Order: sequence, then C-alpha cells, then structure tokens
Amino acid sequence: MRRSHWLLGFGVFLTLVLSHLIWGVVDIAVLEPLEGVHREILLHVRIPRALAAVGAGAGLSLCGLVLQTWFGNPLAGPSVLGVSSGAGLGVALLVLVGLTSSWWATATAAMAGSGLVLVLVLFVAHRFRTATALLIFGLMLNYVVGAMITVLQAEAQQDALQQFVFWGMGTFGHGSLSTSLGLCAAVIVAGLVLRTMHRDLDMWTLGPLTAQSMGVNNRSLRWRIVALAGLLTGGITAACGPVAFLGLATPHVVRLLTKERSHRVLIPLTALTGAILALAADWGVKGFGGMEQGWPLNAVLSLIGGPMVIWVLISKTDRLHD
Amino acid sequence: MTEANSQRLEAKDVDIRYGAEFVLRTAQLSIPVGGLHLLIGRNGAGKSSLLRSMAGLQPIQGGVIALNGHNVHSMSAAERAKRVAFVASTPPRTSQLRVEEVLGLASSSTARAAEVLAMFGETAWAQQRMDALSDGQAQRVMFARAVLQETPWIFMDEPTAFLDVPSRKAFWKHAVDVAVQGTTIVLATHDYEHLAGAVKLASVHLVAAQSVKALDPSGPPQGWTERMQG
Repeated sequence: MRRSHWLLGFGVFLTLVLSHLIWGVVDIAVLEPLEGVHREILLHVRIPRALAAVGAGAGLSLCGLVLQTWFGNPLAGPSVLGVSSGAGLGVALLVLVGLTSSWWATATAAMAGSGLVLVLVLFVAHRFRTATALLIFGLMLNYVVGAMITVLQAEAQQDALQQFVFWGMGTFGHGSLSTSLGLCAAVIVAGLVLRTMHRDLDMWTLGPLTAQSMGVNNRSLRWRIVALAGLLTGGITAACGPVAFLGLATPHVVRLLTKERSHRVLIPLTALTGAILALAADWGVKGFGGMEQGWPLNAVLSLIGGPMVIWVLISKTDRLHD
Repeated sequence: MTEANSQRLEAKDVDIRYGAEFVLRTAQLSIPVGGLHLLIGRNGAGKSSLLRSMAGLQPIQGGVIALNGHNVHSMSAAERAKRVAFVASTPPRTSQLRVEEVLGLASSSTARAAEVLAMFGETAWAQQRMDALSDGQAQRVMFARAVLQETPWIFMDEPTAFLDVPSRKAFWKHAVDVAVQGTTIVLATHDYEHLAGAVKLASVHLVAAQSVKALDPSGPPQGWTERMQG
C-alpha cells in the first residue's frame, strides 16, 4: 500500500465524517461558533451517530477479518459464534416479556445475552479439534437462539413486538455521546491488540501444524480471537442492534481494493474500510430516507451485503469445497 | 540425560493412542544428530503421528520424547520453534501471502531468504501468491521456509506425497543439500525405494505393529518392504 492510497482512504473517511456532522434534517455550519439547538444536535445526535458508525463499522469488520482468517473460510463473520443472536435473546427476554423499554436496560440485556453465549463458546471451544467444528457449533447455536426468540415473539404483546423489531433493524443513532466514545475506544484497543497478533495470523494461514511449528501458541491464539471477536460483537450489538453483513463483507471489499494479504496491512485497512462503509451506508440511510431516522440500516446493508455473499459463493466455490 | 545421548532424538516408552485404540505402545526410537533419517511403514501404521509427536506438535499418552536432552512436550511453542522446523504433508492451499512474505515469517533477513530461495532455484516465485502455486511448488516453498527457520532439526511428513516424479527428485536433492550443510532431517515417506538408491541414509525406522524397529539403512529397500508386509 502506497502512502498516497492511505491518504486517499483517510480523506474519504474524514469527508464522510464531516458530511454526517453537517447535513441532516437541519444543516449545521460546523466551522462557525455553535450555540443553541445546533450545538445540541451536534453533541447529542450527529457526533454520537458518526462515532457509533465508525466504531461499529471498524469493529465488526475486524471481527470478520480475524474470523475469516481463523476459520480459513470466506463466509465466516462475527455472527457465526452466535454472539449476535445471544444479544438478540437478551433484548427479546427484556422487551418481549415487557419488563422495561429503557435504552440502558436494553443495552445491558444485549451485553448480558452476548456475554452468556461467549462464555458458552469459550467453555466448549476446546472440545472441538477443528475450526470448522466450532463454526458449525456457532451456526447451530444461532438456530437454537433464533428459535427461542421466535417463541418469545409469538407470545409477545403488539407494542413490545414492534419495539423489538425496530431494535432488530439496527441503527447507529440510538447511543449517547459517552456510549459512542466508549465503543470507539474499545474498538481502538481491540485493533491495537490485533495488530500485535499480525504475524501469528499470517502464520495461521499456512495451517495449524505449520503455525505451531513456527512458534505460534495455537490454543492461546484461539482464545484471544474468540474473546476479541465475541466481546467486540457483543458490545457493538448492544449499542447498535444486530448490524448485518458489515463484518462479512468488508474483508472482501478490502481484498478487492488491495493485493496485500499480510495482516500487518489488512488489519488497519479493514478497520478504515469498515468505518467508511458504515458511514456511507448510514449516509445513504439518511439521504434516501430524507429524515434522521431514515430507512432501516440493516435493509440498506443487506441490499449491499446480500449480493456480496452471493458473489463470494459463486467466485470462491472451489475454495469452499476445500 | 547424559552427554552421550543429549545430541540425539530419544523416544522412550512412547504411547500414542486415539481414544482406546493404540497406534504406538511403549515404542522406542533413537536418532543421532546429522544426516537424513527415514520413518517408513504402511498407511495408518503411525508414522505421521510419531513424527508430529517427535516435533512436539501432538501430545503423547505415555513415555517421553527428548530432543538433544530436552523434553519436546515441556517446551513453549517459541522454544520448540528454535529447535525443530516441520513440513506438513499437505501444502497450504488457502493462504494468499506472497512467497517472500511466507519466507519473511521464518527469517527477518531478506538476504538470507533470497539465498535460500536461490538454493531451491525458485527466485522467480518471490512475488507469487501461495494460492497461485501448484502443490509441488508450494511444498518446496514450505521446505525453504523450514530451512530459513535455522533449526538443527527439520521433520517432514510425507512431503512428496503430492509431487510428480521430476518434482520429487528435485525435492530430495534439496533435502540432501540441506542435510549436508548440517541440519538433521527426519522424514516419513513412502518414497523410500527412490531415496535408498539415490542417497546415503543415516538411519531407517519401520513403524509397524504398534512399535518402531531400526532397519539396516544400507540394506536393499525390497527387504524393508518385506519387513513391512510382516
């Protein structure tokens, strides 16, 4: 990657961030002294939303990259461990049973749900001899948790069901400034930790035996990946709802953009690209919808991500058979 | 561990089993430093399991395996990587790293990496991606990577299983060159008839009937085949 490419990427990123801060239901001149309603909108709506998009986009994309590397499977993504579904179950239990509808309670329930699933995955992961077995376990967990949510939905009151469905659509616009800042800080820490693992991840692509013979502690690497991916996905799902496709699709977009395959380059580039894609998707949501709540985020992401997965399936069928 | 047997690989009373089924039971094996050493045996006899265990990459259920006086299963992965390099039977098929990046993972010296690549006659591949190479080419790269790890021991598990005859000959020539330079090479292979006629072997070990037996390395490979049939 040339320095000019990085500068271009950061330029696009900053342009998108600024566009989010400036344009919306009302336009704000961010370079002039702010006061009154404009200041409130910027501090409590625009900046938290832009930060949530950056944090969620970068974090989920890093999860996707590291899980695709670990499983050697281009269709692996943050949701495969069942952590997103676990967060959904936590929210479903709270909202559909009608206990409370406060944002903080919902977020706590999502974190608790994803945390419980993560603990379950951590508890059983060592029993699986292969990465594929763990992948299948995650898929089965998704089915089971999904079925439990469906049962809760069938028994729920109309207004509670509506609230849950809205949460399930995903949004970057629900978090406070402190939540979004916390999310971004967590993603930066996770990214720096991942960056220290780049050589291990490169060696892992040569196969578990080869990686181990080159000095990689495979068991430790697996725990670190499961913990990082699980906690990031849980935290982001808590803050933004279950955000679709970003984790799965961004690593493929990055592979289209560059020939580099070393994780030394892929990790920062995936984080940057994920943030750009999330900001672009959210900008599309606001622009096309014409108002702050706009179109559902997951509808926009699915319209982009769905064809992306089909493309991966068609172009990499041979690899998937391996 | 005495000085006499510290410069060798020593496997004592080794048990390897999968569930209740023993592959090896109280197996003994001793391999001195230097030269090219073969593990032979029929499919499923336990050659690969033994080789992985000797490299410390697979746990054993009984006994001890010591490399130059150090228990291979007590070392950290990083310590082990300084003593043993390993070439798996199947070359990586999904890695998209460039050849020079793979070699760079084993050695920080680009000059040394270029030297080894040249020794293997593969300088043209440096910029190639691993998933663009044939199995034979990828396996030679993995051997070059093992050499770059600069370990006193290299273990290879049926490294020529996917190679055509010319590629096998080239591969064995490189193995001999590396052994001549002082690295001890231990390999599991079915290709012993070609090897026995072409190079001087330091030792040959037959893995059969849950045990390991030393054979005459200068003997005719047909004799080894007969021993294998029982």
